[in-house]
Amino acid sequence: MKQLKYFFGVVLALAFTSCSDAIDITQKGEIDNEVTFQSVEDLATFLNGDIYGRLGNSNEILFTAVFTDECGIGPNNGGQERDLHQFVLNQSTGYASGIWASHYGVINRVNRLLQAASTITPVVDDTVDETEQYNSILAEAKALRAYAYFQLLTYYSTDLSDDNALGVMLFEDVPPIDVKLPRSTNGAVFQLIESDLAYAEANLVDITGAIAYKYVSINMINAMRARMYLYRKNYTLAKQYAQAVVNSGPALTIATPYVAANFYNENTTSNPYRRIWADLSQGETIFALARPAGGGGGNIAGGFFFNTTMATGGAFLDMGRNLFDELNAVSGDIRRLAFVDPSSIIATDPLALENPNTEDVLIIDKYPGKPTQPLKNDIKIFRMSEMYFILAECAVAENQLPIAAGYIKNIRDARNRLAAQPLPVYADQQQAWADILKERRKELCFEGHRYIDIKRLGTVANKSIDRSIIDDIILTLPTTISNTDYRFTLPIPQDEIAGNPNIQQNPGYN
Amino acid sequence: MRSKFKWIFTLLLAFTMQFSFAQEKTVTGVVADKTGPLPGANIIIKGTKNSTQTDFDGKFAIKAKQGDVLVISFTGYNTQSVSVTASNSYNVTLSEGVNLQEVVIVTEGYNRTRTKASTTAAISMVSSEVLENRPNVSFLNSLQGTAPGISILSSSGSPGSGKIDALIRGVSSLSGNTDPLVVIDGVPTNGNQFRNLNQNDIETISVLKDAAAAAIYGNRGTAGVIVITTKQGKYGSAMKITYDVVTGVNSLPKNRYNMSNSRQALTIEKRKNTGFGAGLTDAEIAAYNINTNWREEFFGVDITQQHNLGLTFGGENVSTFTSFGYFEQGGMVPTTNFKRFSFRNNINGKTTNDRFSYSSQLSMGFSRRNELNQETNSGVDNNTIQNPLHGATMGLPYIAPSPYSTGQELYNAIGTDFAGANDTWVLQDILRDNSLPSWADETSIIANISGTYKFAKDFKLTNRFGIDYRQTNRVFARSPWSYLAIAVRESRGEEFGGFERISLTRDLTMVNILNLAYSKKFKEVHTLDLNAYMEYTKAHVLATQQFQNGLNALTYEPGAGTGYVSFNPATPNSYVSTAAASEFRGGTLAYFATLDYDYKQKFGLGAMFRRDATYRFIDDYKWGTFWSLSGRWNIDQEKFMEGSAFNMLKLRASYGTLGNQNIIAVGYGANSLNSASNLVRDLNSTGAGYNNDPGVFVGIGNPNIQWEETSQGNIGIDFAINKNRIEGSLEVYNKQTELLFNSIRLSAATGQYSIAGNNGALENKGVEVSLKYNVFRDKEIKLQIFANAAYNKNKVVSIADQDQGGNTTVNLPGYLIGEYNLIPYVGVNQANGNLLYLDRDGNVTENPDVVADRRLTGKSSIPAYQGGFGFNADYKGFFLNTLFTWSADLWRLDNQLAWAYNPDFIGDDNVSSDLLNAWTPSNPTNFPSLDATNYTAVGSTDSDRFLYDSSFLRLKNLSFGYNFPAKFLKGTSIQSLRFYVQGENLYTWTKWRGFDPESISQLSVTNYPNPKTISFGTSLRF
Repeated sequence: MKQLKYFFGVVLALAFTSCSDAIDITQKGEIDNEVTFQSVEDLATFLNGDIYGRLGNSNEILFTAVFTDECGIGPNNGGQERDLHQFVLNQSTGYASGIWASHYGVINRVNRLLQAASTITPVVDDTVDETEQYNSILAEAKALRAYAYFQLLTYYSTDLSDDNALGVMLFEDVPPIDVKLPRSTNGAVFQLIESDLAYAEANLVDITGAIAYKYVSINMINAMRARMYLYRKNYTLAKQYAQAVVNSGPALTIATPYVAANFYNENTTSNPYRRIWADLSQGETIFALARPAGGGGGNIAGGFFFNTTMATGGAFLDMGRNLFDELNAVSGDIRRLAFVDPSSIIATDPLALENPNTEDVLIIDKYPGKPTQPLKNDIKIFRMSEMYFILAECAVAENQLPIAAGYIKNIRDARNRLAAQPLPVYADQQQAWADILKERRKELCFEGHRYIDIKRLGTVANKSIDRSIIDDIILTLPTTISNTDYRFTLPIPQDEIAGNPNIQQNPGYN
Repeated sequence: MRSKFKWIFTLLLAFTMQFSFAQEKTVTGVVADKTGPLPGANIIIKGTKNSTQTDFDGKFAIKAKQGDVLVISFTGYNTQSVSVTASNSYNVTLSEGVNLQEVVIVTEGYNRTRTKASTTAAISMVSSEVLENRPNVSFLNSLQGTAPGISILSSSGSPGSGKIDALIRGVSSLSGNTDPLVVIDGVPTNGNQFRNLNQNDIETISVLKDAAAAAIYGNRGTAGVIVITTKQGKYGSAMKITYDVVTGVNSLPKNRYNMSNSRQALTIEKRKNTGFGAGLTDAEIAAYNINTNWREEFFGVDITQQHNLGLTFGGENVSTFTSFGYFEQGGMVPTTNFKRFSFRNNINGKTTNDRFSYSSQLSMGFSRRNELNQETNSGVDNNTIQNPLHGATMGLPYIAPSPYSTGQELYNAIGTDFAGANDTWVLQDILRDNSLPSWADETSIIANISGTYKFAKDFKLTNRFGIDYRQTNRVFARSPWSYLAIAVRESRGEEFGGFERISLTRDLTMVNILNLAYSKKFKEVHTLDLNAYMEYTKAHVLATQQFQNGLNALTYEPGAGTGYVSFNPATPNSYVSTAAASEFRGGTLAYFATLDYDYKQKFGLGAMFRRDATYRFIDDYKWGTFWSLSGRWNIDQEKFMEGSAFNMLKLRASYGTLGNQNIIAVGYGANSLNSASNLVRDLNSTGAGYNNDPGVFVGIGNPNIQWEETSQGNIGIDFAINKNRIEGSLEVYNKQTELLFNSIRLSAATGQYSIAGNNGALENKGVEVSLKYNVFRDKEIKLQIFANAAYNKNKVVSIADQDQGGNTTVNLPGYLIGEYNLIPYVGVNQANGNLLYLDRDGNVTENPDVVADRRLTGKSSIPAYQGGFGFNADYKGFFLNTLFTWSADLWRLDNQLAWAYNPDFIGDDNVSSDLLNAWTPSNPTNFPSLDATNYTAVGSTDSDRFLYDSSFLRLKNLSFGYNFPAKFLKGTSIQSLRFYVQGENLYTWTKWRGFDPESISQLSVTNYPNPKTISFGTSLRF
């Protein structure tokens, strides 16, 4: 018996001494919310990490470019984007899923920041007062939440000018992981956007310095309001805010000086307009998303090219021929040079070619890349040109056609390196809408505007998607769809439906 | 914690009774036949696993008690039983005969061995003969087709590849682990890649299938268990030396995509009016005489060889087995190969009174594997300038192989234009020596030591401690002279190009198993075995990595650290070195007990109860409780069976539950504990944020994750007729997985679309049959025919997200796991050559809705039927063995064929000559027109056009050879000598058109096919 006891003792000693270290394990470097959020500075780091870091517009830019008339199929296309280019758009389309997820990611993280902020009291003592910084962080976060909601409405609401139309899922808290929200109305969502922007305007401390335009600013907030009220057809407020931005923002960037020798040099170009696209100067940019070399945020030109932004860089998409023809129509238009790479193969009579796909190659150069990062560029979100377009549209809505023509001339003058441009004359509103739409197409191409522009202005301008027959490889395909087609509203993605049976699909998608 | 041990106390208290010590003695003797002593005869004490073998003089020694029965057996002889009396010496003469009754030992793991008649579990045994000298790096490849219910499908034939999927009784989890647990000499490993294990060292493999069998491996055994026992020396045996050498050649199988030759390719281009052929006349095409065979440029015939030396001997109290092996196999693709040294030393020792024994198994391996980047980087799978596997099928035949001898010359010529043949030339540049160095050195140690002490009568205490250590040093580089490095350098405007990544992973798993055993026979008819165990597993994985951008061609040597270009503040985005490291810890803990009861070897009962804990779950979900029950009825022992032809007939039944906590399956070659290590917690992290400034990121956890539970019922029959002339077994099972590990779909309001968790239930039902028929078993002529077959039908029982509309494969309740959901393709519109499909209402359409018009197909990539068969024949020393394997009812999307059929690829890549037969108004065929306008609207994974039956029958192994008769070898020290030739993967019958039907991956692009190997071997025994 003594012997037995001894062995049982060994057994139990072994069993007890070694049990818990195998199963009570946390990995090294794990931090929870308590450790993460302790100070105002922590909120700032979170804002800069998971909120600004999630901000993007690349999905919208690429979707718009492919689905509308900005892109043709490039010479190195092995099937990339071919179905979307042929107007195949449904709830499984990757962009519909990506746009939805990226903005809800921002919203979720902003709500987490607001929740974390409620547990942090800014330090106020003799030497320091963090109150202003604290409020400004919340202001920035709310402005970004407003931007995210506005982007969602822009793509997923059937009619932005109808406050009763179905909007998107609305929430201001940190939702549990099994959240299943139905869609709210546009009106409810706009209400949150407006209150967020009002808070932001009241509490934001503008960042100063050369990179200030890459962060939320008062001009950015007003530019967002101008665009939002324009889309909602509230022309009074749209005009008010666009005018405010014109008054306090940067001037329209001009097209001179033009030096052919350095124009395409991504380090030394002296042309002010080209410098915007090479990320060398702010120019007329009001708000852009920083995409630094070696940083995150993706390579925007990777949506068109495999390797580099050149004819031999693996271009699976190139510029639509009709867009090129528009850019090429006016002598001295700097955009013809700035948006089209010199390595392009430009046919004089492309429609007569046997093989236009490889014999007429129009290389997109709106995103010429950065030194050492050939496909990467900042994503421009708001520019001064757009404010002029908004003012022009407001003038048309008020039936003040000569005023609208004046704003369009402002832009055409700024964009011409050779001569001032004639003042357009509009016989009626439709002509004016059409001319604005045409100029927007040239100026704002590859910035994610064309899709919503056709949806907004297609009917009044009597225009729709305008492709050349040679934009596809197959020369017998349809080149347009009706400007009232259901596909001018994105489908609620299958990915959302799978996790949220309460969501309502948009009309036309089954 | 204390309450968790309540039961173990109870159990221990139950053991408290009076003991006396056994009166054992050593009995010796000589076993002979009519011509003289018989070396290698088996002596086992009936009812125990105590056994020995005779030495070269036919002598044996074994511990036995008076009243024990010695069972003496030898292949080809009648088995004899001798009762131990007061005498210590027994001489036995065996008579030759056909009525042998071999005692088959079944290994259940953790030192539990049973005779085939006494096990209550569903277990298939595979012996060493099946594995030895096969030209496969991993034993898993050799296991294919040898046991019913286990599917081995290797998706890469690259030598030493870890891309082998083993499935026992189907897929038991969706996102969780589905690889069986591999146990080597009683120590469970956490690996799924065994390139350093020499299969010649393996004595037996047991495949444990039902809940009763796998129960003792509860927390990792839900997907089945493979128990490997390596060769051991026998006590009291003379020195034996074995030497085996095998050399052979391996070559690629062919595909049936009918890729075009140069004139065909040019003709197709001319018809499509694109590429080089567009500008040629028919006469010029007919006269065109460059016709490059790209398959031969990218794949060659390669050499395989192996040497294995084995040494074994045993003294009275010690026995050892030592082996040394060398294995080498070329990868057929230039720059790839595999080389391995392996060493093993197994030692067993005991005290003279048998109270204490110990054993230790030590194996070490060192291998170097030169591999393609694609093997470990699926990101380049579809990349036609970085994945050389594309060159063989997609290279344009009318272009000569690259005329450029360096990367720089190639760059000067083509820049970054990959049109036409240029991409193929880039692939050729990749396959130059040292262009893209990529190798993995694996050093591995699997070692364990165990000691058993019989501290009281009927009681034993065993402790086994094992480690599984694997260190992988990996080098991957783009040498500065390679084309890719130059192209990137130029696009970034840098002076120096290339990069080198050197990484090191140290993976250590420690396992300790403590076992208290009680075994007692009551009244000669009741045998009771009780066991209590504690199993402790802990894994540590450390990884470091260094990465250098910018290499100086003057001094750069792969892996040597030379030629690194220093960082220069003037060019802040170039020549940046990065370093990374990670550390992981994880573990499991289990307490369990087993009970086995036998009545007169007629009835048996087994029971198991266990508590499992894992580091992965928290709070109430950390511990899981599982159990199993099993029983048998040895019908042949019944009176009414006396005189029947059955020498064994056993009915078995079992039911039990097992838990799985490997909730996210790890990649090939990774430690199964090293995933999902903190999914239960909200975890934040720091890193580079917006504009490269510091940022904090939050992560969302799921604290409710819990054990995935598999319950399985199994009914089996084992039988042997006419003294084992016919042997077989039949199994029927039903396996249910609940609380299935699967991603839970979320609303994007959470910031993500999915999170890992428990969602759904699965079912696998099946039947397994295995049969062996010894047609002849005389000394001169032997013929054994064997066959096994398994049927497994799986079904999704429940799942949360039931709207999976646009998906190519779906998991819907009532349907197959991963069932294809495709639009039916019905042919060609004879009016215009466009493709025709069926919409959801059954109408023919050119423009189906790629979401709404999909329908379920009743097909999946998981085989429903699989098996193997063959024969082993011996005639006067000549032998011929065959093994056929097969799988049926599995379907895969041949997107490689979709590439070969894609009219968009014409002019840029080679396409199938089937396109010559494309529809035109004058040639109205059923192959879509090259100008079909709806070609891209429905992708290759949207319709069933490229869904092919991947069923196959394969002549897996055939060997033919000659054993020299003993009389030739008389007077030499050689005991036996054998020459043979064998073929592996010799021929495959299949409807599949690609290189290799053997894969469970749904898509076919860039699968590295399994090679065909023909080898010659010699085996010597001294």
